[in-house]
Amino acid sequence: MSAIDQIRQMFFIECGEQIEQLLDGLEDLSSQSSDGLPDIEVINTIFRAIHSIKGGAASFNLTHLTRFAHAFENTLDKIRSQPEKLAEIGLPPLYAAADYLSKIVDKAATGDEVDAAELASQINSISNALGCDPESTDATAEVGLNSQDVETDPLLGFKPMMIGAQEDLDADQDDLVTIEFSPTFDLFENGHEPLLLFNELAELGDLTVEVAFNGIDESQKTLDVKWTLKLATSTEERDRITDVFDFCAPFAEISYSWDVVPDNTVAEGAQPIVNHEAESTVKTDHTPATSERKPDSGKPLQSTVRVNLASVDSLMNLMGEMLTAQSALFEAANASGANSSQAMSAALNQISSLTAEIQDELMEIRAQSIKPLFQRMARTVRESATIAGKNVKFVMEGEDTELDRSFTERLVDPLTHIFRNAVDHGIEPEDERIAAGKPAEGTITVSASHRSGRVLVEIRDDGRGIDREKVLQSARKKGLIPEGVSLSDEQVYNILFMPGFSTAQAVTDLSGRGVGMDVVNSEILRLGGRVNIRSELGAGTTVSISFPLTLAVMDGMLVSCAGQRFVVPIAAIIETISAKSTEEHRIGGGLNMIKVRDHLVPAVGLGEIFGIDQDPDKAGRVYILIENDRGEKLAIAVEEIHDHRQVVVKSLEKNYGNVPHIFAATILGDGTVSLIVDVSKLSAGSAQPMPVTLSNQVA
Amino acid sequence: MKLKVLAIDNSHTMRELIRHTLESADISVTTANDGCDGVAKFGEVRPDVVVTDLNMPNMNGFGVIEELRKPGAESYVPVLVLSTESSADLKDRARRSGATGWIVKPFDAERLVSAIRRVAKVQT
Repeated sequence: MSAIDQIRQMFFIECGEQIEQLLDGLEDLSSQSSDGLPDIEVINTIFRAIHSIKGGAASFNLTHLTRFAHAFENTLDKIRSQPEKLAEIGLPPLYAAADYLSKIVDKAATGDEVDAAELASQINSISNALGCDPESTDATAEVGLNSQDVETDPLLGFKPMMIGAQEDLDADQDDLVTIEFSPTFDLFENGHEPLLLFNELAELGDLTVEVAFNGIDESQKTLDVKWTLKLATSTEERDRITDVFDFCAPFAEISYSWDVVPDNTVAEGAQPIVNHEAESTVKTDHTPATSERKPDSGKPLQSTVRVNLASVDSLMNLMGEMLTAQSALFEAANASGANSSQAMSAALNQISSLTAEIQDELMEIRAQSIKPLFQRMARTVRESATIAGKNVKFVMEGEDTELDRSFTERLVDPLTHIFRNAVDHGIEPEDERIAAGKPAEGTITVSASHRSGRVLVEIRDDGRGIDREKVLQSARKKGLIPEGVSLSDEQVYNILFMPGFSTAQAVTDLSGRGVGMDVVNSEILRLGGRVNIRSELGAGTTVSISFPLTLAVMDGMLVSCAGQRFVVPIAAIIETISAKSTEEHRIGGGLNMIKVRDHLVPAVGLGEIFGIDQDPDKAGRVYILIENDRGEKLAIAVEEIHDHRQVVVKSLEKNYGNVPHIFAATILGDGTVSLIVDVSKLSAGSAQPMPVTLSNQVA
Repeated sequence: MKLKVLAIDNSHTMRELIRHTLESADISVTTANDGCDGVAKFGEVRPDVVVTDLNMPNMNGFGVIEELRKPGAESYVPVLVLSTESSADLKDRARRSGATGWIVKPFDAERLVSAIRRVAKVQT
């Protein structure tokens, strides 16, 4: 990748950060009291975010993005100068503009076409919000609005050089300008250097320089010097000449007088032969203004470095290999008895604690706050609410919760679906809400937190809730549930995850297009996660999603059964129970129960689940008590528990698709493959009636 | 001796673009991510030319220029403003604060380099 490509990529990452700041700022404004004026610092932050996007976009010739950011910035600028205007227009137009900005940033990043009509209408809306001229200010021409006309240097992605001192040398230089230049002492104190200015002038034509020096007084900071510069040039260079002195103007007396020789080839006699013209004489006192803002010393500067995500991924993979090698080392040490040496075992322990630490640090590097994802969902909610004509407030909680970077992208689709459902089916229309004695505005709250090694995301709405009976009826009608079976609330809500189920009365524009919660469920499962629905009729629905902190490495318990070794995720294990210390009860229909602290818990053999061991009475059993994602406890019988270790998760999906009750595989220290059990859907009924063959040859 | 430039801009993208452009022209670059950082780095690196953005958190470009031009600062280093703005008011304010020149963003690579070489007192 070329350096410019890398910077371009960085630009899009930065855009993401700027949009986050922009949305944060809008959030801050919305939480401020509506009667007072908005916090100008917040407005400034928002302005700067848009401004930075515009600057970068213009550098990469992203015309659409530049144009929209420019229009947006103009409106913000107006609010900056007249904060009272904000109350006039409210926040919705700004949110809409932020959403559109984020949309076209995404499009620019992927190189997708921007709909020209939409762009024009979005530019108009944000500009009309406060009556700004859509593409006003002289800056527009220079930020690349017309850059489509300019050929782009493919190497740099910049507009080509437009300066042209060299190519103009052929222009006629019959005209003469005499410049009198008397600088003050301040000129030198402000970084100017007359010699450099004269060099610059010399590029515009033949230059002669005379100087009258009458002394300098350093203590008084006074200077009496006058240069007389005669430049043979063309009147066409007039602007360029005054430009040379542009920034010296406050610190010098400058006058220009022109001797213009009429061009022979053009009209004769019409122009005066000599045109003396004192174009400008400027003298300004140097009065330093005070800086706008004083340094903010309270804010600690964090030093960061940007790393390519791919190299972090490969570090994580290497870490995985390292863990595998480590367990091989441990096994070899055990087998050879080398472990009995104190020095050896101390060294091994040190290695394992170091790798654990490195792994934690790596996880930290990969971690990302869930906030950008939530902000994206806020946008989804706003858009959906607009389409559905509903009034919905979006509340974020725990948005600083961190999760593995790779999850963020993969959570977008399932979450989008859940939020659209909440707006579309959950939140009632305003009149219905008022009739039910609820606030007219619906609320959707999303929260994130860390819970026992997992990330928990909950989406709550205060809508109408799920009608249990309607779900049941519909499921029976569709033949998903046999007649006469009674289900718990939890089981009823889980029907929503069944393929082919939808309670939507009408197919709306938002959700209910046949892609239902079953897709959400399978997506989340693929992330090693679980989805759960709770609902109260009339009060609202909560969808909770939990998933592991990372997909790459897992804490597991190595167990064996029927001669095979399996890994059971530690996160799912409540406790292990020796068969000797518990009562086993055999109930009719092949159902076993064990007694755990006075409660009967269904028990099933791990071998039975996979159909590799049908003998439930094998001696020396150990039970592993787990909880599935419906909150049901289940005791899984295994023959032996080996140890607790970190395993590297290798997905099987690409080769085998979704295998029931198998989450993934891992490679053990001795090179053999072991399957990782997915306990989330295990239940007493999971035992396989027919033996199935499980391959041990997983790559 | 290489020319030393201090580039102050709160946009990471812009800093890297400037760095890339100037380093390609064999100019050494130090970057700072806001006005405060810029003034601090100025003391450390003693650049030959300062290129600064205007709109920045913590201390804006005018603040930077004024800080560098403060009586007793004894630093007569040229300061170029690099901004998407180009309004006469702002230019005038920059001029009075003591800016040495103004370049409009998005900048043209060669133009930026030539502007820097033009104001630099150390000729390399």
